[in-house]
Amino acid sequence: MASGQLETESEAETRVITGNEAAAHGARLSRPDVVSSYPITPQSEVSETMAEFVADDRLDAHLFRIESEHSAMSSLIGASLTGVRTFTATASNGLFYMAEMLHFASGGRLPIVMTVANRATSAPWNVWGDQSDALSQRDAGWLQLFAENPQEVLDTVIQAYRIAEQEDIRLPVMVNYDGFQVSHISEPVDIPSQRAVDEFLPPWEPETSIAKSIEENDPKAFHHILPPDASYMEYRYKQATAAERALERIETVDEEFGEHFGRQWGGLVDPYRVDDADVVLVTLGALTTTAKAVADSFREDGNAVGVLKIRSFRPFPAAELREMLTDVPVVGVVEKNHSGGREGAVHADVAAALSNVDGTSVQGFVTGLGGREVTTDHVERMFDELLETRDSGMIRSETQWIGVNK
Amino acid sequence: MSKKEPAPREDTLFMQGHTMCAGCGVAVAVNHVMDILGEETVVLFTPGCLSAASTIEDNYRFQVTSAHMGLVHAGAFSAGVSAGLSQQGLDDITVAPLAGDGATADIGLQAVSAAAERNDDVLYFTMDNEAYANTGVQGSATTPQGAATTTTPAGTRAPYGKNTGKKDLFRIISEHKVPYAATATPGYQRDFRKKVKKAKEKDGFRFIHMFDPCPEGWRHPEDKTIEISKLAVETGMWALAESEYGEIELTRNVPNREPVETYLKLQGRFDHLDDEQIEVIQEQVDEYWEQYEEDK
Repeated sequence: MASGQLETESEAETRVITGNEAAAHGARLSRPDVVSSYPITPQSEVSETMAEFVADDRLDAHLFRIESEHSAMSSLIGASLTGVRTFTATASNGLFYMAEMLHFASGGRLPIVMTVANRATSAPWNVWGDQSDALSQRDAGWLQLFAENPQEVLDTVIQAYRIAEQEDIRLPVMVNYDGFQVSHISEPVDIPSQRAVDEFLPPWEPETSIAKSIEENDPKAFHHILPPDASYMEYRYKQATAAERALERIETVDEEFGEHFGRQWGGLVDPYRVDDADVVLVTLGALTTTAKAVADSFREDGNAVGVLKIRSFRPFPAAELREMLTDVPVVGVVEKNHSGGREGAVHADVAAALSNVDGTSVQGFVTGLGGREVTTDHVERMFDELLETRDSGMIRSETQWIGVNK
Repeated sequence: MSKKEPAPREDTLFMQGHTMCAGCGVAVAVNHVMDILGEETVVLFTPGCLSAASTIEDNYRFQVTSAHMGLVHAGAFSAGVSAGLSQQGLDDITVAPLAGDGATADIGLQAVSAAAERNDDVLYFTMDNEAYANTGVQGSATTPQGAATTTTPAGTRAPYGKNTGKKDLFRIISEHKVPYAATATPGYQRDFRKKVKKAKEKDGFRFIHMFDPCPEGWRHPEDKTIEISKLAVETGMWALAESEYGEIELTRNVPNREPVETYLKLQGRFDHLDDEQIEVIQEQVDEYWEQYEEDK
């Protein structure tokens, strides 16, 4: 429900920009009415760029100079509840500081879009990239998409609003990308015209909002108290089914995006040379690019390996994984994350999805923590290990740490 | 924006049927607040007595639109509602968080301070009953020295109960140089209503710190609420004041203060205090006012 007219209507252009700038351009083109973000490495550039857009009248939004991430999310919850489009960005400590409000946003069925430049957790203090921040918020009720490069970041932000705002979904979306490996990498990025994005993404017109209740003279209580025998559990059930509906919506929106802009990203998952593979490495984010290159060299040596990028971690594409990996005897999962005392979160979910598939084994690789570089050598070791499992029929270790100095 | 024919509403916007305690100072205060703010208002609750007594399931006792917030973030949440409405051209709607003392002075102070500093367009009410009353009367930053609460009980190691004084929210917010800040208490109705009216007519961050006696938590008879509210002012325990851009003015001078004992003795939460302790509290009140005179 954008109220003002912009002074400039931006034209399509290709520019060399960072992942952070791509996130900000995606947000600008989506015309949020309220923007509220607190600076934190490695996303600060997103906050700065959004502030510039508003200062230069390239975006008609109320921009909060907010004092914390908790308040950033809180202010957007308030704004979203009135029926306007909202945007924020964060990482790591900032995401944890707003954790209470993540549940509030999803439970309130508010289609807030947030980019997260994934970063390690402290202590020890570390500002570099890994995926522990977003993956730890797996159960917060947000849809969690992971982008591989700056172009996918921009495109996914625009897609995110179209997914989130569908009335029978109305869930917030977290658009994740690797801190530094994507946030600070500059690449040529196609920035669509405002007109093209407006056509793809119409204004959000919710069926219920504070503004609507005022305009219709129909007072409503939002987020009121529901004891055990009232409809709290029914709310949660509806929320769960909305997240399941998002599985189809994410696919559809990506296809529609392709029709509009000539680019699409695979929807829920992006398989690479998986069809005849007997070893597949499941990835998330920027590591996918490295994994595909390594898979190519293994293919040249006659090894049937493939890569499967998970683009939507929540909702989790269990059916798609089952379909694509049913005839794959050995599946590896690599993630820049570890759940203390057990394997990583992605590994656990992939294993659960394939638990009823006969003849498929799953093993995990933990790597790249705290920004530790993941080289092609490291990925080669993962494929070697998976091929070893295929040949021996034995898994040496369910979870291996790759790139750690023991 | 064109409006539909208004739905018929009851005479009061905060309706009968809520389950606030008999003699609750907050209930009296909120009645005044809603009467003055009127229908073009969105109220926002922090978790506490008021929301629990008026927004459970179908028992919704307000006739304006509301939302239930968390405990921590009333400043930011309400600023977001205000910004969202403003972006849709609904600038005339009063956005009024009704927050508890803990939600303002303790866990939510950062968000309130930030909203005040940004001068967000919000009319913020703190309903101060000097404890976390709804969860069983635990001590908060606005619990006064000498009061026993369930987390500041009086004992041999803690003869006062709470042994530090009340956080002065009004001064803290005034020092943010906001367009308007005031203190109020239901015992002085005209003063109270005048301030709410004044605040409503201004833009930007406005703050009203309401001193609301709590029969349950303060352990006083239900019919003494207004008397205690008045006595707090007459003894100098509570100052009626307002400020514009940080310039503080008293709205009620009390040249001959009553002894604090008359206020303390009406409330069970101060029962444990001996004469010496009461004298210490008297001295603190006297010092506060001497300092006030000096600051002028």
